[in-house]
Amino acid sequence: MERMRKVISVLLAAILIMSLAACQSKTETAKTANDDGGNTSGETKSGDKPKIVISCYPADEAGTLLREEYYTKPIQAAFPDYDISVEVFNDRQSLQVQVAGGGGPDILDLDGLSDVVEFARADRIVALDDYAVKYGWDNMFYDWAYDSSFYNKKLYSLPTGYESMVIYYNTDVFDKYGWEIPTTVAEAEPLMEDMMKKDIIPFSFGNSNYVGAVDWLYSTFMSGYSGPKVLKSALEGKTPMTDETVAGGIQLMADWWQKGYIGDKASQSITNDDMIALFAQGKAAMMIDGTWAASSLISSYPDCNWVCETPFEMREGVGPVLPIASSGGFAINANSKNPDICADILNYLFTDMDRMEKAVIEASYCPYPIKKFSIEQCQGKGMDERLYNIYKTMEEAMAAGNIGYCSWTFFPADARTYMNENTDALFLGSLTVEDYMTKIQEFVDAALADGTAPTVP
Amino acid sequence: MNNNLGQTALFAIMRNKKVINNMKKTSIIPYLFILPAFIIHFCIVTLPSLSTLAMSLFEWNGIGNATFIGFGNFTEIFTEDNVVKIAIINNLKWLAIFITVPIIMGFIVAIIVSRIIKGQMFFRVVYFIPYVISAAVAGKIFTAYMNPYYGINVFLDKIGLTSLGDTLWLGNPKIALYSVAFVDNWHWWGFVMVLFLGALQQVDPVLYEAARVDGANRIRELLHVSIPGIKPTIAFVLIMTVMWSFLTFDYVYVMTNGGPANSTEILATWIYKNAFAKYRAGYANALCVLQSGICLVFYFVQRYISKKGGMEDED
Repeated sequence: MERMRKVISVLLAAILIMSLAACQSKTETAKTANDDGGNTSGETKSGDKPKIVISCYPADEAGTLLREEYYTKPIQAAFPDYDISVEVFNDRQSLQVQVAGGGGPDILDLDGLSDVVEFARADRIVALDDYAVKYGWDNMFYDWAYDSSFYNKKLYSLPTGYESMVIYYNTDVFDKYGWEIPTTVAEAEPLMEDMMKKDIIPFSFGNSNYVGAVDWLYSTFMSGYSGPKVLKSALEGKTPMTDETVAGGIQLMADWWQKGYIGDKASQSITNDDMIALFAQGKAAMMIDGTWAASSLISSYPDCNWVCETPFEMREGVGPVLPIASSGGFAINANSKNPDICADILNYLFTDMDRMEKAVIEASYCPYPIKKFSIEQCQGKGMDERLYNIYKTMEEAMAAGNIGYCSWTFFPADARTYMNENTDALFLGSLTVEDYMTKIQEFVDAALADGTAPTVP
Repeated sequence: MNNNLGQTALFAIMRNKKVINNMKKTSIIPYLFILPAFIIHFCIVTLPSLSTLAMSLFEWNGIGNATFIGFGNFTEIFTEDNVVKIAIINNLKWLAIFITVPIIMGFIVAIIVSRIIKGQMFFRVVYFIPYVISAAVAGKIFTAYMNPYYGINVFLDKIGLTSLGDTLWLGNPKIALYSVAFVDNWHWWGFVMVLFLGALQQVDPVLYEAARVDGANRIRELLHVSIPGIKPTIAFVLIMTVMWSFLTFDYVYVMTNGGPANSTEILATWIYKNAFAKYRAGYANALCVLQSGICLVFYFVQRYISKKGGMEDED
């Protein structure tokens, strides 16, 4: 019996050690295959075709089908010699962990500049400057979108789309009460008082599921109140953040929240979905949201009648300002064994105009910020008129230069993180505007000093 | 004679060597049995723990190379990071709630249920069901219940409790943490009850009979038979509660994500945000070390008190 126990224990230990050794051996084999195969992160091959993986965000069933039709299939058809797949990453940390571990997809669809900067700082993504020269990308994109893709004077990503903050008006509610769409703060404030008397929430807003949604608000208020010149100057460290022309926008936003104009003083209890529902169901008359919300309204609330416009003038003499942003950035994984083909795929995405036009018209995709593509070419081809008007407004604003700056593209990453985490404290009265702006100034100064501040057009 | 003596001595030495060899062999065998588990534990628990300790001394964004900064992260934790203070206070509040409410509730209900002979299983199942619902699902359901526009507030308004109906359960910084704790307690106390119930059923019925013969009433039975009989379970629940209170994450993350204005921030959510949202993995590691240190201190304090209270055997 004792002998048997000894044998079993030795066997168990041996099996474990062998299995651990086998794991190690397997890893090394995979690594060797990776080294030999010219295949990045994807360590397997499908037949003889090198595998290319593109990361993407999760989507609902309809969104997944649209992506397959207007994104995945066209890329696969354009590059038949490669085994290309689009892989959904449900959370950002799994992407970070994979890339940090020496793997991950070949092409990364990143959230925006703040993500891109971290990956670039860690040398996990490839500088695209040589490819930019090869493919002429510097003349392909709108300057503001292209310039915002640089970190440390190197191009690390390409803008995946453009978007802006707008004000949505529920026209059913406006028509019912005979209200006119306001054009200035002076018109908006009495109107909002009237709305509250009628038990209508002036601006629907909720961020309980995503605290950072406050950046939609402060980007709109800072851009609208300061205007492009003053805000650019503040982001470049030339005008103090505490100056009234900059801080005034934040003060206005906090005042409106405290008066109940924004989110009924309950925004921390309301999710983004609730926010859209309150607006679409007529419990709120207006909503400050991104252009991306239009497709949700169209698909989820087809009976709701609404229009959206450039935010009204927030300070006399500044005029209406449309805050813009690029919606994300395509980058090439430094672990990729095929960076050249990845660059080729990116170039294809931005140059196949037919695919882009079909995706914008039929799938309500956001257009890429490229000069060659005008939304006018989609007119009369079945595109939803409201979506068309949004992009038309954006193009006109960009042409006229009355654009503001959304934080996720133009603010230093640390400043944005601070603002996202602390704007609720401002609303709830546990932080003053002065302290808030002073802290932002510190982050802006630090980013300017270490060269991580984004380029402001 | 001398020869005999020499042989006896030789045999004695040989016998001793054999005994010693046997002892050595015998003492190695248990270690061989635990070796596989130890190797696994060392690889997936000890090494990562040591790496956390090491990485807490680095500035690291979680993706690239790390830069050694000594105790810089800890200096920042103790001198600059105001949220850490809020998080630790919130963890302490959480501990105060969970070391009292679910344990008292669980214990009282376990006592009552243990007296039920017919249908006991029904009550055990009913009270235990919330424990098997995932935190993500329960958190989302209760978030909807606490919505000011279509949740319980509408019902409270309708029955005339308008001031309660206007309460922002998750939006008011003064009560948001308690609202989340309420939901976690809803999920947790049934489990505690089942633990106590199981322990109560292990108490020898003869002791109750003896107590009754001695004229003890229900209260005395409880104090002098039931509670002493389940002391090890009480000690276990207390230790687990102390540690889980500092490691809790799920309900806060799902229901408020630390908001509004950090009012429900706890160490675990702050660690998560630093590691994955703010790209400060090195700093997050330092916070993990702090969290583990606090847990250890509370663990030893609790064990000391339990031993003094006779809930655990003195080693």
